[in-house]
Amino acid sequence: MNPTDSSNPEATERSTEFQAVDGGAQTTSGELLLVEAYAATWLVVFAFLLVSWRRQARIDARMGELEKRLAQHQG
Amino acid sequence: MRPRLANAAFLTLLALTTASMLVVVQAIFLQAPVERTMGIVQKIFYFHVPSAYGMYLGAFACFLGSAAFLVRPTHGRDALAKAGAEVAVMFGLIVMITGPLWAAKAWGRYWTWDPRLTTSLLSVLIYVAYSVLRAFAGDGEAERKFAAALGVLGAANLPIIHYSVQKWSGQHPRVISSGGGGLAPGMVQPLILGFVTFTLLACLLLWSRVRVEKARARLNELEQAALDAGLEEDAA
Repeated sequence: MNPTDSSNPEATERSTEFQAVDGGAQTTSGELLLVEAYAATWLVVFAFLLVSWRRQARIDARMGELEKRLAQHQG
Repeated sequence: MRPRLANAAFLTLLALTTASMLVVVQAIFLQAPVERTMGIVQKIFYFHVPSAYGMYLGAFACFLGSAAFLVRPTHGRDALAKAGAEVAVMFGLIVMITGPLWAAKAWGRYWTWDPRLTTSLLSVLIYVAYSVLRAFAGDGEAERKFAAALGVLGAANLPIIHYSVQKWSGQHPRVISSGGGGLAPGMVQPLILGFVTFTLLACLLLWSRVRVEKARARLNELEQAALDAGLEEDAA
């Protein structure tokens, strides 16, 4: 569209005020909130799994070390 | 259960949970209709409500393990109680994050002191307290019994959360419980899939945490054996 086209009323009128589409009550995007909620759900689950995995790895390493020392001590 | 069989069962549960997650995401975002008045933000409902259910499952496991531990203390029962509390905290966090995000759009504010919101927050705080107690108060017999008592008493709040929307007035929606108006036909299947998925996820996480706790009990035994063998400096 040609911005200088005088047949387009939007191009020639100067905006003098801004009005909210939904009457001004809504200021938050539902789509954004949905994405935030979904992302938060996955983040919490993955954080839980990460903590659990790290604990298991630490325990496994310590057990392996102790079993080796006990075997050396007995052998 | 034999270790190899247990590993196979655990991996099967993991595969089922992953597949179910993929199906439920597809059902929520591509099949479920957009709600007439709230719009797309209503889709938070499909994982907010199953998360609350997951919190109940974790809390019930904590109650079961704690009550059984008080009757006869064993490592397995203690591990179930501890794992249940941690799973309840995890799902409770999801509920406490997703609920206010929905409310920001539906109510125009993140939080109100509605009976269901307040009792849910109280329950999450109880299981946070339980987990903090287990993490920092030591692992002696007295501490474990005290935690077990908290695990039993903490479950008393669960029926209050459930019936709070029926007994007291408040803003929290009552759609699928008794007295609610129900769901549109296309919304029922994603919700059922959500419940199935979060049940599988709760079982998977409970199982994985119980395994970690049992491994920790075995580690404690090994450390004791190392101390008895005179390797105390190495074991410390």
